[in-house]
Amino acid sequence: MISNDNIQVEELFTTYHQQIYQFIYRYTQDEALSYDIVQDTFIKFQKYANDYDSTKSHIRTFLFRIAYQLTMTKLKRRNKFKKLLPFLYEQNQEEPVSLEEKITIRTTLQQLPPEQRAVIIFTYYHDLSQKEIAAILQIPIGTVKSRLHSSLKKLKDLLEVDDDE
Amino acid sequence: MNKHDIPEELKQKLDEFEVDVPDIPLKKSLSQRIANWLYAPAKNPVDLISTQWTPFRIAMFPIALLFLCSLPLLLL
Repeated sequence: MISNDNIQVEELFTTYHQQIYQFIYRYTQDEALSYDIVQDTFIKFQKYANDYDSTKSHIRTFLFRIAYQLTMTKLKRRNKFKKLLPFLYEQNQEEPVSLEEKITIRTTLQQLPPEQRAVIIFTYYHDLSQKEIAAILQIPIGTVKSRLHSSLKKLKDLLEVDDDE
Repeated sequence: MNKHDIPEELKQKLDEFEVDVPDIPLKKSLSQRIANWLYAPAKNPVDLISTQWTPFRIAMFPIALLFLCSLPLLLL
């Protein structure tokens, strides 16, 4: 028998899994990790659904927050493994990068500090408000504003875009 | 500052980063969990042999091997 909770999770998954995948992929540029985190987000949502308060935030914000926290946890765990067993991982940084590759948006986003990268992805690709981003990243709105300003400045510099604001 | 304040040229560059979303099932199978846990970009074994073996790396090798072998026990 399928419960109402399951139906609700399936509906939420259908509505939001693509947005969550796109965010994680743009942030990590790792297909397998993104795939994994999308599923884990909804597994965790089922577990903590009672903590969600619809008067405080939108369900999308709540799901993005879970996905962001899972991403951070998995990346930290991966970095620890990389430090412990470096020979198991590809040494990507040693591969030569062409000039064309250097100025693509993918490479440029990876060059941004992680906290700035998250803010620009949420702002541009997901059209989230600064209040929503602050709730997802658990930081003050002022910090979101300054990170957005810094990330845009850095992106313009790296991509050699003229400032026509 | 919001999305609309981003310069047009930068928007065009940002739009170049398109993401194709694969078919993702809601439920995770056990085999898929194991496969994802084990997943890591594999390094060419020939490259591994050709890398310089410093005394530190040689000393660390049995420790790393022991750690790898004990992983299944640690995760049980």
